[in-house]
Amino acid sequence: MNCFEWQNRVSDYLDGVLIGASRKEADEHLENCKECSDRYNHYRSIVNSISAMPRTFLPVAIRKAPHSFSIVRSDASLSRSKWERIPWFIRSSVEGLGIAFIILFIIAMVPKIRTIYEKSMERRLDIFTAEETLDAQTESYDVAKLVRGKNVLDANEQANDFDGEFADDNDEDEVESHETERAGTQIRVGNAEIWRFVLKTDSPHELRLKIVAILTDLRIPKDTPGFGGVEAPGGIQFDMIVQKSTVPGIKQNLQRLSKQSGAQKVSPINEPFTWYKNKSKRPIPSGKSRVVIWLSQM
Amino acid sequence: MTNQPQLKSNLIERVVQIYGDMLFDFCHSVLWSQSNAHLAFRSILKEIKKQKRTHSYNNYERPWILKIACEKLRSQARKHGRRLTPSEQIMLDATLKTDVRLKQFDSYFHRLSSDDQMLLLLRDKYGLPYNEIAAAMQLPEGSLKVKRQQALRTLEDWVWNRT
Repeated sequence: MNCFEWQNRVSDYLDGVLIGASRKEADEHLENCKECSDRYNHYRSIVNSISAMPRTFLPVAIRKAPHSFSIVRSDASLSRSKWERIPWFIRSSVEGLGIAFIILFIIAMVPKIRTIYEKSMERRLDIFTAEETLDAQTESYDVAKLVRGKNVLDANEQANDFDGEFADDNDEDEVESHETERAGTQIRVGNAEIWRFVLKTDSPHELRLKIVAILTDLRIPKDTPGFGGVEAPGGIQFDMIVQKSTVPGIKQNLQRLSKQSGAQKVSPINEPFTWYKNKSKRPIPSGKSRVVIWLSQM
Repeated sequence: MTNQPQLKSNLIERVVQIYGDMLFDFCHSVLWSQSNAHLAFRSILKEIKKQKRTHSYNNYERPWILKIACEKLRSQARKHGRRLTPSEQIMLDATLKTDVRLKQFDSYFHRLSSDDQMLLLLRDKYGLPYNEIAAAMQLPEGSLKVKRQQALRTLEDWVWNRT
C-alpha cells in the first residue's frame, strides 16, 4: 500500500472497519511511512476533539412545551434597552399611537404641501407666460421697419457726425433757415440737447429689436421719424426727437442692454457703451431732445 | 381524521423526548449560537409537524428527522451562521503553537463549511452509521467518506499549520 491508497482508505481505517489483508497492509504502511503515521495521529486527535466537544442539552422549557416555547435570545440580552423592558401592551399602544399620529400628520400635511406645490407651479407658469408675452411684444415691434438710407431728420444734415465735434458753421446757417421756416413755433436756438448713445455689438439687428421694444415701452409714438432705425454702413442708427423726460429712461435701458448683451470691454478706448450730451445749434422744439443711438457693428 | 392532530402532537413530543438533546446539540454545534439554535430547533419541529410522514420513513425515523434538520441547518447557517471576523481569522492564523491551536479547535472547526461540519458531527460526535448520514445529507456513502477525509485533512492543515 502506498501513501495515496492509504489516504483513500483513511476514513475506514479510522472507523476500524478496515479488516483482513487491507488492514494489515495499512498497518505496515503506517510503520514504514512517517508522514502518513503523523497524519494518522493528527486525524485521530481531531476525531477525539470532535467527539469530546461539549454537549448542549435541550432546555427544560422546550422539553416541557415543545409546541409553544419562547425563543431565548441570550445573545441579545445585553443589548436590551429600557424600552424593551417596558411591558409589551404599553409599548405596543405607544407605538400604535405614534404610528397613528404620523399618519394623521401626513394626511394633514398633504393639502398644504399640495398648495405649496401648486403655488410654485403657478409662479413658474406666470414667469413662462411673461416671457411668452415679451417675445410676442418683441415680435410685434418688428412692425417698425428698418429703413435704408438717410434718416428723415438728417435729410438736411450728415448722419454720421456722432463723435462730439458735430456743431459746425453749417448748423448755424441751418438754424437761421429753420428759424425763418418755423416762425411762430417755440424754437429755442442753441439750447437744445443732443444725446448720442453708442453701443458696440456683434449683432446690431438683434439689438435693434430690443431698442424698438424699449422705445415702445417708454411710450414713444411709433410714427416718430427714425423710430425703426436706419441701416447705415457699419451699423444701425436711430435718430429721433423725443420728449426730454424719456431720455433718462432710454439711457438707463441702453446701459442695461449693453450689460445684458455681454459685450466685453477689451480696452479703455473700446467701451461697449458710451454716451455724449451736446448742445445743438439746430432748432429743436422746446421740451424735446434729439436722441441718436448708434449700434456699431463690432 | 380526528386523530391526526393528536398523532402529530404525539409525534412532536416523541421526537423531542428521543432526539431532542441530539437535535438541539446538533443545531448549537453547527450554528454556534444559543438563540440561533432555538430558532433552528423550532423550525425543525415545525417542519416535522408539517411534513406528512411517508410510509418509507416509518422504519427510518431518525434519518428522516436528521434530513429535515440538515436542510434547516443549511438554510439557517446561510442566513444566521456565525462567521469568524477578520481579526479572529488573523489571530487563528497567527497562532504558532500546535497546543494552543488545539485549544482553539472549535474556531477551526467552524471555519469548515456547514456540510462538512454536519458530516463530522454526525459521524464522529454522535457516531451515526454512514447509511443514516447518507440518507440525512442526501449524498452517497462513498462521497461522504471522501468528504470526511477531505474535511479532516483541511482541519489538519489548519491546526498543524501544514499550508
